[in-house]
Amino acid sequence: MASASTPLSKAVALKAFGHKSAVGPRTVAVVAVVAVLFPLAWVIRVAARPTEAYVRNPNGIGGGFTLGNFASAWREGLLGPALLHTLYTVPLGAVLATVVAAFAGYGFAKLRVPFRRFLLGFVIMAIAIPIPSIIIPLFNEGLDIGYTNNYIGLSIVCAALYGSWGTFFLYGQYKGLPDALIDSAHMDGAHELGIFFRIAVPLVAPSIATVLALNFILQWSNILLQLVLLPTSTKQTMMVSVSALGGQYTSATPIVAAGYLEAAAPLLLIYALSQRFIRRGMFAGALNE
Amino acid sequence: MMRGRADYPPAPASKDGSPGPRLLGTTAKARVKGRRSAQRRLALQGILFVAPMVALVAGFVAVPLVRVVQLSFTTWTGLGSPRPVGLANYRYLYGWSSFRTVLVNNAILLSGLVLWVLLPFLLATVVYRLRRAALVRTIIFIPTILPPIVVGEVFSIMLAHSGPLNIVLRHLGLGVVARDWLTTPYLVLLSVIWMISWATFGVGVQFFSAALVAIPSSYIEAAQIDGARWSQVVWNIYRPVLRPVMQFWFLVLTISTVTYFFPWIFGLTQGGPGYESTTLDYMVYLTGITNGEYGLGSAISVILLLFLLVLLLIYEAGRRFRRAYG
Repeated sequence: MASASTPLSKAVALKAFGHKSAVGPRTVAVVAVVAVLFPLAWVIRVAARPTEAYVRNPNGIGGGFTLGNFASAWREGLLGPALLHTLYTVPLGAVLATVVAAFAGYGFAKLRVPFRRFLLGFVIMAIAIPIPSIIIPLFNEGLDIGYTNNYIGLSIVCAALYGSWGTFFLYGQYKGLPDALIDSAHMDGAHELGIFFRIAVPLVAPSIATVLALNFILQWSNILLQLVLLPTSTKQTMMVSVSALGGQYTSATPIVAAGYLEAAAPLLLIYALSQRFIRRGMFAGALNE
Repeated sequence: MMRGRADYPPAPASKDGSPGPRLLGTTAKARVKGRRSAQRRLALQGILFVAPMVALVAGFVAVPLVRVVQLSFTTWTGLGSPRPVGLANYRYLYGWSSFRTVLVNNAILLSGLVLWVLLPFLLATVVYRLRRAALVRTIIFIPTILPPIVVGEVFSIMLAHSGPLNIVLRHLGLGVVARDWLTTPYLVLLSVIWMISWATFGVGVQFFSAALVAIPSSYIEAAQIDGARWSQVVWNIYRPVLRPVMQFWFLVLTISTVTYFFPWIFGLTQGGPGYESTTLDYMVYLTGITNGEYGLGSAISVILLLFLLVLLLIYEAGRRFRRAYG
């Protein structure tokens, strides 16, 4: 609000929060930022320290900088192939989850669906089901049907498990579109599919981008499904390989730290690119409730 | 819900506003019949839109749910077919001391919810009127992007016996507080709560800030001119306005974290020492996947689902109570 910068409000803010109280809001903000950044900065520092310097003094921060740990982690943890394996399954899973959600959300919000309330409730119920609670049958059924050890199989399972919140979120967004818009397109003789692609999807496109970005991040990080449904060592994903690195090289902490940072790096990139959509979606999600 | 859709499809002749010539001759009955078949066609289109999602949920959520309940009454290690054993798995869990440790762990970790909701709430209210509020929120959001196992690794470095936390404590003359954060029973749960607080903090701040923007700053200024303390402003203005967001965030945490500690624990302690940081969902993995005891693991899964159900019922009861008496 504009009034936040008027002299009066500043004076009031100082009076209420600044001079009288022991800790001002600025101090609190600085403490919070330091508390959040310190662990991250420390680990980055550890990953960039030469191993000899780390072994000599694990608690120091000196010893110069090196990128060798990142190369070692990449080589010894076989992170190159692991990255490929992740890329075989996660992007497809994210896209599938987003596409089924985009269709279903529209169907539930704007079309005539028999047993609509029941089916919508059924899909929303799935949001609340924790993955660990069904991981045993998923694993066994996967062995029977053949989606275990199959990249596309994992993508489809992820579409099922991550599509439901997207459906619910996009349902809310489609609901906000005026019916008159869709009715008038009907009058002009447009097909349901044409209306969906030419009117509904463009209007909620930022929300669909939100669903896609969050799906990518969530599925990338989902070690449980990747661990259980891609059990063969030659199909290990980035997450699984990196966690194995920790077990293998307990003494070389800098290398392990470097490996973990490499596993997280693509997500930081995705976040940097889609920050706008992610934050926007969160605002929408929080206010919809 | 279906407002504006009931009269669809528009009469074929209404394009130019006047009844078409063909329709003039038809009886009312025929017209109703035509509309019905059009509606059926429309319903078919609706089904096609939702069918993929519904089928996926049915196949990969609903069927496994039924299956896990069935399996919990059997014993099975993957060879042959599951052998029915009645309640034997549940009876075994009742007498298993490690399982009791796991239940206690889950109960203790549940208390983390207070911290995970209140900390971001308080920070959001303190920070949102600062000039650099957006920058603060952006920085605080960074850890939430990290995969949970990476967060686990970050904290296993931070909280190690001679890690940075203990060093800082010793430097500050608080050496007596320094502990083995990851290998001491109960303390390890505190470490988990703290770690998750660190990793979810930014999302919480984001949610609360979104709702805070809606409060006119004149409210706060008026309260301050009247001499309200900060705590009074928080209690009387921020708390009621942010209650829906608090409930939403509480629900998100319940679904995404409290019943799914697995990746955090896997990254930080792998459930140790012993079972001291093992949670229900981690126990499902250890028993059902690592040890391949599908029947027993399924029984633990069912208890995990019941745990979630109780949480959701308490949440709903609280909401109803508030609506009735609050």
